[in-house]
Amino acid sequence: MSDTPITELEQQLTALTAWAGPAPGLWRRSLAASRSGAKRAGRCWRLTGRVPGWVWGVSAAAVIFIAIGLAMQPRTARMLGIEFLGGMDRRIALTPDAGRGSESRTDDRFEFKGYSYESYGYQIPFGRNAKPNERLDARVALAADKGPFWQAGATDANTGSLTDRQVVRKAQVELLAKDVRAAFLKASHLISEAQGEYVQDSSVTGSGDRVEANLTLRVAATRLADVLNDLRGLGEVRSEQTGGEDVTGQVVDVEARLRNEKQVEAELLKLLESRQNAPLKEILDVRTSLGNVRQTIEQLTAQREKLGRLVSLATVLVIIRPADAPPPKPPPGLAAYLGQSLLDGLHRGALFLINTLATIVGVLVGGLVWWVLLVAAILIVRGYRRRRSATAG
Amino acid sequence: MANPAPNKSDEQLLSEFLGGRTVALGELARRYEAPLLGLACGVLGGRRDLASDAVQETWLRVIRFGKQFAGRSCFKTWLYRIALNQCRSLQAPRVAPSLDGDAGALPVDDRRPDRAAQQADENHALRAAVGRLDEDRRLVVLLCYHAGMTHAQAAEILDVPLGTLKSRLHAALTELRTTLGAEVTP
Repeated sequence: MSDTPITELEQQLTALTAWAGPAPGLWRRSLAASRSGAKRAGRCWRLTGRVPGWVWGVSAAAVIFIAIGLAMQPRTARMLGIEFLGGMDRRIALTPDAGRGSESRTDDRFEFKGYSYESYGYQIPFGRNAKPNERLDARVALAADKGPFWQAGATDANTGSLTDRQVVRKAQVELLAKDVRAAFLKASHLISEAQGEYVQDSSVTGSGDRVEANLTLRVAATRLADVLNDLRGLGEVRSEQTGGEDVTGQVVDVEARLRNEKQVEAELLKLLESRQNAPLKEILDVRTSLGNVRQTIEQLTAQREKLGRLVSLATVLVIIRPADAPPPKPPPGLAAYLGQSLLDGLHRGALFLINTLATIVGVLVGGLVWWVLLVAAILIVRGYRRRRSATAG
Repeated sequence: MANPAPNKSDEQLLSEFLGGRTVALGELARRYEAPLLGLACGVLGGRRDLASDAVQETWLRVIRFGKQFAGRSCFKTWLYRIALNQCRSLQAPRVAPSLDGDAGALPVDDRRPDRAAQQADENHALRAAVGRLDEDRRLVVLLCYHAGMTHAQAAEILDVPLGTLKSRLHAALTELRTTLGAEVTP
């Protein structure tokens, strides 16, 4: 206490820190709280178990870390229905290979809802949501666009008359043959190279009784009926589909624009010849305009030739299977569909679980350095807080 | 149940408690709980509820971190340091001096109503004046006039040299006298 004599002020100050009444025994509450793991929060007691706060912090950080890692996994994103548009071009580039075996692989790859490959001018449905015919049409449409440029010269005659219908023809024939390889070879020899026909794709997959052959033939549109007849003779026809797309409107449009641009080109040339003594700037302007018009003419010419290729060469997709191959399964009933759906769900769930575990392992192992640093930081903070709380003893 | 001897030191009692004898903590509480409550009440502007919280939290830390007590200071100063830290954490935002019945931590003479009323007014004025001191001076005043606390112990609790403590105390008393208009001299 102060060495000075006790004054009234000092007495009042002493009374200021005096407790009136008995001690309420708060230490018992603290002891009980310590044993139950309760943590004080303001004026309330809340039970948090015996898990200290830093554990919650680490857990939250881990959950966030893992969630980010999961979201960045393409497989998981696919499971969650997130579409990665960045991978579209690469996947579409794989699609034109025709054939049953390839088709099943394509189905596995294309689990997304569908794409539109607009640069080709086709709406291409892919994936399980697309109907089989749509997938076929998409493949045929893409295949039809792969004709070599040298074929263009042979098609001009077909596109010369705009009064004729300009139709892109395509067909699919599914055959059952006793000797698949022999039928495959015969089919590939049906083309007439002299008329610019060619085999665009061909493949033989499987072995023994499960061998399958696929061909994509580009044959002259005028010979389509003959080629189909020849194909029917190679085996038993299980299915046959033919179709066509009328592109007359596109051809007419391109031709009209081309004529117009050529007329403009002629007028500009005439203007250039008649104004030879004009100022240099005007001559240069006319030449620039002329260059633009000629560029447009080249683009339109290319479009016309492309349409001509599509029209002149029909696309025939041939699928050859063994004659004793099991018939396709009938569409399942409701109960079977339910069972299959449940099995699919189970399969997808298992895949998701596996992917999740793989991601967690990847995050744990890949981020080992960060985990060590995080734990070290937590230990340092924890020790500092302990020392601060306990004060120097 | 064996009662700890009353003449045992605080450090011995703490050691016994850490050894599993809960009654030793009870003995420590018997010695310090009421003084701690009084000091906390003074620091927290007369808020008895907050003072209870602070003391309860203090005991919780004694229980949890008692093993870390290294004996470099006496148990009492260690305990008071914890209590003051708890009061500081409960002080933000700074607690205004209570004007309700809780301020009755100061004993008033209720045998004469006029005297009791006058004393209550003086208590309130004093608490308000102490509350207006800056924190260093306020803690020095409250600790130095806390029951049973020596200047050396107060300096150790506040972790300041003894000379600094005395100069702060002098300055605080001067300020209080000025504020209260007191005519007493130290």
